[in-house]
Amino acid sequence: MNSGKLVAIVEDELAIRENYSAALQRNGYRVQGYASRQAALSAFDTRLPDLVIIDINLGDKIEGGFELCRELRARSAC
Amino acid sequence: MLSYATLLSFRVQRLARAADTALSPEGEIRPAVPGRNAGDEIGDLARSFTDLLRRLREYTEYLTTLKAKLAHELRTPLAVVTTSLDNLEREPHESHLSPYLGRLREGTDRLDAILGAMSEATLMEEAVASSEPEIFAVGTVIASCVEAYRDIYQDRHFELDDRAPDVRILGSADLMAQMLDKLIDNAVSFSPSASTITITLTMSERDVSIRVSNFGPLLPESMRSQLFDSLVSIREEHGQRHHLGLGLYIVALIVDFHHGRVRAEDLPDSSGVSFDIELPRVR
Repeated sequence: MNSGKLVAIVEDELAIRENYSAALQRNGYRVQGYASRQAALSAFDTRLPDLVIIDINLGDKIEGGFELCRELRARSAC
Repeated sequence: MLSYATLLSFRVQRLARAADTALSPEGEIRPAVPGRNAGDEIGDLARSFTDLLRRLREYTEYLTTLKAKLAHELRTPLAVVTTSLDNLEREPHESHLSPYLGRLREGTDRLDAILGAMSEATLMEEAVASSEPEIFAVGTVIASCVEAYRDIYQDRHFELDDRAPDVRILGSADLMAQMLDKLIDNAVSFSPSASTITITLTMSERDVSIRVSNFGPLLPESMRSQLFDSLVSIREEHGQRHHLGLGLYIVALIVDFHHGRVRAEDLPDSSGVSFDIELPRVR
């Protein structure tokens, strides 16, 4: 059960972010939560997680989640 | 004097015509009333009409987008509740709390279904607005849908009586299938298990008629005229489920796109209800 894999959650709503974190931690994952695209990107400069769960509507941008997804895909292809 | 009276009469008539046609057949409000640049009382009237129609259009646009905005805004707090509940259900808890958790889950599922239906109605409005009409055989579409319903709803029998073979209509086969989906979903929800739902196609000189009938409770007398409106709530006879009436609203939307008519009535022997759609044929 305890894979120890790192999951990142990018979600601007604190309660939802914490609820998902709790559920994943209960299942043995390590979790990092980020409230914005910028916070997530600067953290990913140091280390890319094994999985990222992204809210589509991030902050002011309706499709900010898709943008982050594209940026992440470009980084993981390197 | 006579020519002044004639001109006056012409301007008043022009204003009256503009007021009559301010609402287009598609329901669009056209606020530009002619003669609003004139400096006299008729000009004042034209300006007042223009202002009134412009404000009416703004309010109509607000109402049109309200449903989508509301559905979107309510999604986040609902996600907070459901994800909290997901966690709560997985934590050890005393058994006397289980019924409350169960009711909480039922409530959130219902809210989720309502918001889903509201978003679906908006998507459907957009799909209807962007559909390009084409000629298709309505019986073929219905026959393939009925085949699928037999698989999906295995606790109902479906009887298809096609007395209008090869009749074609102008419209959208996709939308027609979605309209039938809604009618069948409605018929299944209100009919007893193992009963038969009948789909009948008939034709007249000008129209093709699609009738979906099911056994079950009769139409609620009090809301007969509102059945096809958006957000009408009808409680099922046996179940706990609420129908928000969006399904039938979508039916009305699609029928309208096909320049048809829809009506609902009780079966003559009061054993159930039928929904009749009449659509103009292509000849």
